[in-house]
Amino acid sequence: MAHISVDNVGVRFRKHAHRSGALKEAVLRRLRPPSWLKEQPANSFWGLKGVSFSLSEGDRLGIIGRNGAGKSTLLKVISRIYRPTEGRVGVEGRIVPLIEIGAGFNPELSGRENAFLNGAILGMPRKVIAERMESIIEFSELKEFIDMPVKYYSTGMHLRLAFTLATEIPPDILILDELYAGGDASFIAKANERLERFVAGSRILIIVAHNLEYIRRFANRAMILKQGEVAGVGAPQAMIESYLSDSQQGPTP
Amino acid sequence: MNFTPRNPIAECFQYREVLRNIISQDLKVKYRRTLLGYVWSLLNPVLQLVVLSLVFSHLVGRFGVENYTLFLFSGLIAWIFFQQSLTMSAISLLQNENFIKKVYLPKVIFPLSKLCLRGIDFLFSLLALSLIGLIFGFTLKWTFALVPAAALILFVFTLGLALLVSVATVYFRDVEYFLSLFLQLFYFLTPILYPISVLPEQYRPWVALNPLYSHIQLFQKLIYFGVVPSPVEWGLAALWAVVSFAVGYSVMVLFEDDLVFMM
Repeated sequence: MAHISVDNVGVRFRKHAHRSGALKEAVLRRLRPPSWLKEQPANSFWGLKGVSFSLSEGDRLGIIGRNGAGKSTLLKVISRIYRPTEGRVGVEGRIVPLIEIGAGFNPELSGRENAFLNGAILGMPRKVIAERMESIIEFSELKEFIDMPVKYYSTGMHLRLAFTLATEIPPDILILDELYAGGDASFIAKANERLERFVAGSRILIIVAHNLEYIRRFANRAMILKQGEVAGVGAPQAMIESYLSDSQQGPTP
Repeated sequence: MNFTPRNPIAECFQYREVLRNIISQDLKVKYRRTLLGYVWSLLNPVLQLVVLSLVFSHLVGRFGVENYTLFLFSGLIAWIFFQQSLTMSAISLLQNENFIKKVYLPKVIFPLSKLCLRGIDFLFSLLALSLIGLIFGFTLKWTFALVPAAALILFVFTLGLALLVSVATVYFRDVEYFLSLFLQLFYFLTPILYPISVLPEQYRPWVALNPLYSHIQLFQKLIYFGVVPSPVEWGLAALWAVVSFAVGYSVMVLFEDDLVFMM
């Protein structure tokens, strides 16, 4: 049973991550200091604040928002890359995040070697990847390039391999940060088809897209994020309209 | 605030397939485009040993040690593991920023993989030792069989420090540079190139306080002197290992989730 619950989640970022004092802050974060010792609000900001929702099988959530609204931060919290500063995140099921291109490729290794590494990271045993290698090579259209180090790959090749690996064995939960939009038309068509099938398998999908067409097509729920907070949840069409009319009123302060 | 205690060790076991992959990749990348490939693993300690042994037996004299080559090797093998593990671990988290920012992985995996790599080299060195033994015509004593026990204790000791420096480097890049200086200092302070017996009497108790020496001396006794270290000597090394591990592990647990924000 795949399930995601996000309960009052907030993520606080430091403004000057590389300045001194960061160590002190990290210690304080863990030691639950008295309030007078807590870090000054001026040095940090909330990238995400008070976000709550839950998703069950068959839910496909589209997240919309401007740059810096906290979309990627939310995806990273759900994928366990960021631990929330406050609140709780619960995830059940095999989760595959496709955040930024090439979720953990080693550039020195070939596409084939990276497939095994990525498989291990995403919870697919070596044997399974070996069995699927032909199909992976075919879908990603890498044929003669599969044994070339990934550092020589073009952006398109990179992204085709990443998408193929993430979806080769449908995970319970797929998280997409609008990346395969950079592929060529024929690959996008193939990828969309694969996504349709994924969606039909009543699994959980979370998708972030600036191209609202993707939200219409794949999501059955949508959420607007604005400055780290939820500004609306509902049917995709309604949310898209609300988002568009809001943007027309000029930039948010 | 949300604080669920984690168990990095249990998680590492859960992610052992990833660990295995990272180790085998590192091996591949390391020897890619070299003519000799894995032979370097064997050749490296041998060459280092030959150089040191030439320098010290002919230029400096042998510090009154019979079969200086074997003596040197017994301490050096542990030192090389220790020094290279720490040096590689220090940058292991920064190096893998690419992974840490894109997928969840227990962070212990990165320094641990470096130790495993060096551990493999260590095994090669033992093999090299047997080869050298054949060439130079000395025989190893039965106490050699206890080396794995000493190696295990050294592994835990080094892992603790490795966890500590890998996390510290993320916050202060200076650690990497400081570490190499620090290691150089310890290389000469610790009786590795010379036996402790060449030191004046009054300094010896101080050397005993050097945590690294508690480990080095186990190797020297088992390999060179052919005697079983006393329970106190075993215990001291084990104690340092436990202390080091407890510190490194706690630091890792405390900072694991914060690292990604510093990259």
